[in-house]
Amino acid sequence: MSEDDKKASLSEEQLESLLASAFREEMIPTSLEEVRRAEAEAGEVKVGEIPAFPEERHRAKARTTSQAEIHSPGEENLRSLADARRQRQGSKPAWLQWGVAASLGAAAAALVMTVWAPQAPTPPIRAGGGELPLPPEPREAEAIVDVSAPCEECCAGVSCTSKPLECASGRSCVSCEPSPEDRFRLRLGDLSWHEQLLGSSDVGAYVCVQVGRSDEECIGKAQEGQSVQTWSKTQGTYSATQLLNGVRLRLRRGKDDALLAEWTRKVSLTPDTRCRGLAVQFTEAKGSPVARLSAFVDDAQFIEVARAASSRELLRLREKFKDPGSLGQIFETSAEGSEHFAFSFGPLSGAQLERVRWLLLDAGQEVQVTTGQDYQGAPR
Amino acid sequence: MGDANQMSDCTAFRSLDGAAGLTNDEVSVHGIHRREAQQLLYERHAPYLLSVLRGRAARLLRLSPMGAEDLLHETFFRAFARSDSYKCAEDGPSPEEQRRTRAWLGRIAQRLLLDAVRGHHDSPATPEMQDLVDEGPPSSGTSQARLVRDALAELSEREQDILRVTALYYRVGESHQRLPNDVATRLSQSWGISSENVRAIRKRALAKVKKRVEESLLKQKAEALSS
Repeated sequence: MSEDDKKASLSEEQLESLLASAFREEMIPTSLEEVRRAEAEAGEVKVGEIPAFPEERHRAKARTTSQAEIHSPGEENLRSLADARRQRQGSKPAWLQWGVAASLGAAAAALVMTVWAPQAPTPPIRAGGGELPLPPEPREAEAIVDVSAPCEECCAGVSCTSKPLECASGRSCVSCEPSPEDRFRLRLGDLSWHEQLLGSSDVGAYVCVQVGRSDEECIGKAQEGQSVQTWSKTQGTYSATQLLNGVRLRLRRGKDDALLAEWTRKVSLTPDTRCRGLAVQFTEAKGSPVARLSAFVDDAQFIEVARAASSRELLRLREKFKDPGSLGQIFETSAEGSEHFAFSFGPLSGAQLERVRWLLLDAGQEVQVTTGQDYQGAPR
Repeated sequence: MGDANQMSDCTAFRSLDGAAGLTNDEVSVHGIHRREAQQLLYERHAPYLLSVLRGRAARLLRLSPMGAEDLLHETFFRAFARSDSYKCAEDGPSPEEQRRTRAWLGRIAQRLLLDAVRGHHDSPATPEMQDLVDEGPPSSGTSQARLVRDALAELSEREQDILRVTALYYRVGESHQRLPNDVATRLSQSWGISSENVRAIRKRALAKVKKRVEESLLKQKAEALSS
């Protein structure tokens, strides 16, 4: 290496320091100078636009805590979702104290919703190798959490009161404009080969998706014949800006990954795009059509309410919610043990998400917003 | 009640500690009630903080399970709960006092965000006011930092996110920056990959940035020599 080369090289320490500096621009200002700059750079949100200071939410949380606290010792495995998460995520010593496998079984039962009033312990049943006390049956007198979220300020979808329009995407409520924080997944439909290529279509083709600068994500190779996996979704999620920067779909041959054709578009998330989806026409380099498929831009945000080792408990939990839009679903996840199933509302658009989230929070329900990265298969 | 808008942040925070912290004059001038003081502070500073959270910090927030409004509320809850750690300066009601408050709130929010990214929720998140100093302009304006930003822009979103989170845990003076295990685990969950993969991606991304920056530095040197 020449002397100049040496001068241009960065030590690991220098590089890390520079990285921290570069990302500093994305962090919350914590010094006077940074505050000055932030004030000068960005206007403030208008007072009328800020959410009210949530005194009610505070009270709801306090209620939840007091309910949790009055569980009898025999019900100590009934915990709020947040407590269960804290237990899982942050307190290895507690796990070690429990020590034995039976305690793992008890942790698996640490699902449970604090909205249930404490009741007499129910007899345990055997499940997953451990004692799994069932959460108490909801009583008729118990409050049902209403998550009715009427489709208002919308531009399409069968539930849209102002513009009822059936969407090929299956969306029932399409907002007029996505919010900048919204995340989306691409869902691909069946691949149909151009008729002149039908004879050579049995190539186990698959599709790779790249949105903006994201990593390319390839969606399952076809088992046989003409199609990629039916209704395959990307695992990655994307913002409206990323989609607008460009979506590239590459059709590849299974046996040797050769590029057969590609399709590139800047996708603007108009109500029409989100309602009807995209008609993707794959063409080869010379422009000849090769195949086509439908692609849909789905919402990718969920409000997760609880996790459990079995779907049965979550089915019971679901009964606690008045949910005319059938937004609440039970998902199998790739996680194991007490997190193998999740009960979530969604996928939801940003506006729906906030509406439902606050309905749940106001009911004293602890929730978590997620993009469901570990959800698998079709929900129940 | 007097004109609450004239109340300094200092007076408002002291009123949260109870009327015992106030002089008789302050009580009579402002007619302060705890709830009013909270409301005043919230309305005065929440628009700024929400703007920051929705703007420059939006990408970072996306890596946590919290929304901008959640973090906003939690920050104010913490600030009000620990109003005793708010240290008043001599400057009285002034833009400078408001900036000091905002910087303090920013530190609370930053710590809460950091905890949320880690998946922790219980750690004390209220920094002491005396920690606040005017640190001068951040070094992100240097030419090398600009080169790093250019290099980062060429990375995938996943690589950027992993480096972004790593940067949150940067410790000045440590030669080997380490991504805490729980953070790596959380990142791996959000991207659907293993923790080992997170570290491998981070390593590769760092190498890419290093290569790109070094190339740019060499180019700059060559251009400087030729001119």
